[in-house]
Amino acid sequence: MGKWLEPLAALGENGPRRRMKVRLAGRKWKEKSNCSSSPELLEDGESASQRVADALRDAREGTTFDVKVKALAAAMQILVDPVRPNHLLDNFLDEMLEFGELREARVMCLIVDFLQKACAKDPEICPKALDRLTFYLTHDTSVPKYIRVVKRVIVACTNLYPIILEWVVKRSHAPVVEQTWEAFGLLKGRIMRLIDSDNDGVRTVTLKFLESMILCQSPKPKEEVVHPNAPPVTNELNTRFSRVSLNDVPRGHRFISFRKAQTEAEQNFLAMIKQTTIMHISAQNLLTAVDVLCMVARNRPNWDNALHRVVEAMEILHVNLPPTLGTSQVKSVRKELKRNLMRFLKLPAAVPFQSKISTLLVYLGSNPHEISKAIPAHLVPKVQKKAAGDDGPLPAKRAKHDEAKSSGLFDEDDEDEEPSTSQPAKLNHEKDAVLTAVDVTSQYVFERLNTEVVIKLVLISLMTLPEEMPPTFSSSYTPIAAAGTEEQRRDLSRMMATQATQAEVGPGFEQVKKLKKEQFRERQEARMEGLAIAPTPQHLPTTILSRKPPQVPFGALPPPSSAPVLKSKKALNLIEETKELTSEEMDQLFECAFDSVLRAERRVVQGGATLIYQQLVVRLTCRFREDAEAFENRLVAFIVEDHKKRTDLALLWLSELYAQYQGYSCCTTWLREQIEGADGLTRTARLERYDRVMCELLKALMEKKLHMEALFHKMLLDSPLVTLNALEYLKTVCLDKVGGAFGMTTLRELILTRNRQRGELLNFFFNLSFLDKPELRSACVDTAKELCALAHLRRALTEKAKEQLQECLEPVPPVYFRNPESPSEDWTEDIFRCALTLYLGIMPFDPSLLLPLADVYAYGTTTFKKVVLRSIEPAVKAIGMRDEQMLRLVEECPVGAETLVARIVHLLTERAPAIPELVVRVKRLHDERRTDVRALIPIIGGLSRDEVVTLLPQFVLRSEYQKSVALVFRRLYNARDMTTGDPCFAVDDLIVQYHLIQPQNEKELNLQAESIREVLDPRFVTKEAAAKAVEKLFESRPLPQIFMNTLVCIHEKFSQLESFLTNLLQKLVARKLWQHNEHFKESFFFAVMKLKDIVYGAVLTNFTYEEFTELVQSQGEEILNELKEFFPTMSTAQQKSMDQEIKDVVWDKEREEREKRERKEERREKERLERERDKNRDKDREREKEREKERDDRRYKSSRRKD
Amino acid sequence: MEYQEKLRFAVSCSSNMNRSMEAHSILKKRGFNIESYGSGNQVKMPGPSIDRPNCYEFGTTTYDFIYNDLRHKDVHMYTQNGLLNMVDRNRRIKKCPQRFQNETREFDIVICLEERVYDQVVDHLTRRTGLTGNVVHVINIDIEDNPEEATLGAFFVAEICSKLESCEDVDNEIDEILAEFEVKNPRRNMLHTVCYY
Repeated sequence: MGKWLEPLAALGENGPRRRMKVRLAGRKWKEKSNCSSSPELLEDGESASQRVADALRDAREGTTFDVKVKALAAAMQILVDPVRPNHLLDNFLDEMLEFGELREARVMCLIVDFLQKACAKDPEICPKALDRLTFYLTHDTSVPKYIRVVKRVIVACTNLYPIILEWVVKRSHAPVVEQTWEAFGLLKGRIMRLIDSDNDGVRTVTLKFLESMILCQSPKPKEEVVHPNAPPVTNELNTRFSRVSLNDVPRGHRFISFRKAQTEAEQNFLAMIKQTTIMHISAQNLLTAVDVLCMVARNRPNWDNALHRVVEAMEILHVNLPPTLGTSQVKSVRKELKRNLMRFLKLPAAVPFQSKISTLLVYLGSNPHEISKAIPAHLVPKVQKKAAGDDGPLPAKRAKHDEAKSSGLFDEDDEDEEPSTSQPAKLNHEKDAVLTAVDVTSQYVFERLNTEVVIKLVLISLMTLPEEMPPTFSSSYTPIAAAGTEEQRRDLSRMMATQATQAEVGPGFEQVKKLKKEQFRERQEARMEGLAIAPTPQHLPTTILSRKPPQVPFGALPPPSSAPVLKSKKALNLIEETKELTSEEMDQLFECAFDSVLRAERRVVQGGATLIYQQLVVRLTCRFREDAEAFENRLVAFIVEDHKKRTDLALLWLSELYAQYQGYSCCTTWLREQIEGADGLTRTARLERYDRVMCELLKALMEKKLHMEALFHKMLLDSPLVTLNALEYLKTVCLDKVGGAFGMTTLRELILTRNRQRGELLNFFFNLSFLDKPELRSACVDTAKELCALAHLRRALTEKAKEQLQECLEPVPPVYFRNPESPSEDWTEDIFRCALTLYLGIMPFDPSLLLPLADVYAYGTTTFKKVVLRSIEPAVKAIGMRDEQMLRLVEECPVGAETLVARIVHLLTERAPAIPELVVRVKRLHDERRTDVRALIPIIGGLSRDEVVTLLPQFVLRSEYQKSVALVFRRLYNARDMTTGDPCFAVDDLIVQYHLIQPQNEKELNLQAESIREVLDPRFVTKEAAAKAVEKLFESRPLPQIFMNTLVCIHEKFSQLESFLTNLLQKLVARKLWQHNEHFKESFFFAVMKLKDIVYGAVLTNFTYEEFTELVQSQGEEILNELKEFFPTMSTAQQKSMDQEIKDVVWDKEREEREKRERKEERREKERLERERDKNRDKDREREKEREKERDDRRYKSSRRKD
Repeated sequence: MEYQEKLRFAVSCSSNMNRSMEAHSILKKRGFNIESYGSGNQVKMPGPSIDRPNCYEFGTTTYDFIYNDLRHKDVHMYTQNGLLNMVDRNRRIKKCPQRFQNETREFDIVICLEERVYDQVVDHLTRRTGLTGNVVHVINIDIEDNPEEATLGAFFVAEICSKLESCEDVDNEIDEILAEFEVKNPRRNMLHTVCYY
């Protein structure tokens, strides 16, 4: 131990190193046995660990990422160096991985690389490394350029694949190994899904990963007997995947199934081949896919018939290059194909395909000399032998050949592996079906490829020629030297057959279909078994195909001509051979062409020519002056079908039509000429057309319930012109319960943005409020308010509102006012209300609308006035009385609108006292116009005392205003000074003033007397104020006529003032004040009846007998009885001061004696009862005593017995 | 250093003398991470007549040596045709011509300046034993082998390099960038493929 620790003492003293020292010490002890044999390596190891520690410290302390990365790279280099012992790596692994926490793409890339290299050095690290790699594979958008890390992870996994497989095979018994293999399986699955990634680079490295996977999981062919002169053919050695293949996996492996692994590889190989058929694949990916396929084909030529299938795929690819590729890309891809095919020629396994490859190479631009040079000498004789024969072996034969070969190559060790030997054979057979299909179709085409068909084909293809020569064509076109020879026809047939099979048509179609189904089923099964298979683009060609116009059935083609066509020498006369199309046929062709243009959308978008496409479609639809409706309908249906993607198209169409209508579209040059000649589409007709198209689109959307979609609203908002008919659709949307809000928003935007059409739009907007939909109306008001908030719109809005208000004066409502559902043509309250809704809604924003309203009001019908008066409240309150326009309205009130003004003033002062400006104006208005005095009530609190005093009689003495008296006084009582908050009028003074009003006749007097009840309202009048007022009145001479009524009223309302009243009445009666006139006397007698006890005393003590008799006479016997009852309650002194005669009348002696008697008897009875009660109580007590005695006796006896 | 922010460019012509060195010079001045190579078997330079070129070995012969050799052979002629000037420039940039096939360093982008060079480079890259699996884009841009075209071409190369350098993710955008250049310069023979180390 000491020996081991000594060198460690040399390590530095700083933190990390110390930590490491301890760890190293422990680790070393354990691994002593491994390392002890080589002391010099240990020495080296120590200095190495010192260097690593230094580098890591530098990395930790480095301030920039550049420094860190540099230091880490240095550390990594030492750690993964194959000459260093594994424990060094083990020691520093965690410390290295800690740097992965730095959120920097470069550092992460480095860590990924490190993991990969570390695993290569010591596969025991794999479990940990896979964890990390899986983590890094998830795209972390917060780290800039993280996509680099993802790519690094995939590349690392590509490299790790053989390493892990090898390790797993070697150490199949450790449980951790199985877990690691499973984890790797998951990671594999995740990587394979990235084949659909958006990023080109990620897809590229994923394809490369597939290559690694296929090579690792397929059996390596046995080395063939090499020709002595031949260069080494084992390409395998030239790949980094040479270390392991499926051959190395023992059949009885604990958890890797040979069959499953092989199936997985086969399926992925198939997926890879499919990659080359994707129409929109990028050049980079295509190149990679070709590269991968060729790599597989070179290394596993006979496995799964790979070489043959790859050559086949390249054959298909070279005539079907993706249309999206540019010229140079096409050139690059062809170069790649050529290069790879040239390399194939050197493979012994390629001998059967040499002729096919050669043909392909010729098409790719190689000359025969080059080709023959590329074929190694030892393979040549076979080629010549083949060439001497027919056209090479028939496909079936070839398949057999392959089959035999493959079973020979795989040459299983044990004979009982029947299924696996037969498996490839079966697969090969199935996969050859494609080939057979091509052959069958090719034969079929060849038989029919006569002059007639060729001419038709050329004619048809002339129609579909693109404007520009596609890059694929330009780079691949070579003049055909031997046109028309049988050989060339065969080649041509084969090319066409390849295309047809690719597009899933032709006699071979059924076979392919069956095969594809089979493949699909297999793949699904494989997936079910948990194999990771990259997504195949298989669906793509089928979907494209499904969009194609119905194909001409093959039966429609002429049967193969019995005689060879080439022999017919008859010259072709185009005019003779063709006949004119009927107009229906032409139409039909036009429509078909149009349809096919429409259907090309997808490819166009892929090719990035969307705008050109849209322009083309629009022009096609618009160009024709007449009979365009069929196209229009098609386009409408087309747009609506996928409205989200085709919004731009719709807008472009509308813009074009608008341009035509205005005459600045180049499409209308012809039209312009026509217009000058007063023929063709006139401007109106063109507008009609624009309108029709717009409406058709909107209608189609409505019918499909798509009116909530963006297109609908975009058309209205973004098209150059919104026609009235289009607005009708918007109206329907606005009426919709769900889409109403959308519609309203759109309308608002329209009003905001379309200056030119604002008038029309506002008309439309105002008309909306007449529809019988309360929620719509409120939405309208809300929108109007929003719009009004914008200064530049307010004017237009108010003008329109005024205009509409004026229309309320029409004898019958205008058409748009009327509800279409109700037949009535007369004005109704509802119509007026609708007409006023928006006006009143926006009035608070623009109070200048007040005066026009008053003007119209002045001339309006009674119904109108009623509606106005009822509905102005919210608007008026919102404006408030301080508004200048409001004051102006009061000041300049139009004749006839006084009632409106009165109502407005009333509403304004309901909650707040009137401001002086308002008071002045209202008063002036009243004075000038002699308006109803009640109009002054709201501002009465603001008038001076004298004015109030003069006004009071007008209210009090007029029976029609009786109801207002209470209101007037309430306002007066509540009137407060604006600045100080003190009451403006003294309550007692007001009461006094009320009494001072001089009624002119009996009727007025009665009114005054009645209204006193309203004046003395205890809610506003305190008892003190009432008493004070009464005292003041009592001092005045003569007493007010209604004074007695006042007293009665006070007695009723202020019970606390009873004694005050008693005293007052005493004085009043004593001073004989009640006698001053007849009327007062009457009222006094009447009051006596009401006041009863309060006044009885005064009456009885002060009245003379005559007066008393008069009272009794006027009020009847009833009062006499009451007085008689009252008399005994009087004190003796009072009784004595009474007039004797009165006393005689009211003193009921009999009654008094009777009562006395009764009282005496009562008393007696009571005494008797008390006595009896006492007696009974004594008896009870005695009985109780006896009982007690008995009990004592019993107790005594019982105690004795016990003793 | 492998883990740097900048792209690693290599530019290759046939002899690592004129076109690639012109591009090397310009790109170096503009701050790119650049190396230059030749892909032929030998460094070939014009000699007294078309069938007597001056040939040197890659890797061992320095520019200095070539310079002195040419001076010694015919100082007037080689000054006249600009070769001496060119070699003089080259020796200020690096020590000796390098052959691409002998290089073990990895690059992100290899720009070839002639289709034949491109073929050789791609052939080399696809035949060598793969080690790391890292992606390398091989681009061909044809430049005629004379001093004027070399200068013009070098600017063109510099333009492409700066576009590539400035993009976020070169693997994802290279197709588009090259397509754009192709549209702008329809006459230049451009090729592009992907290889793996």
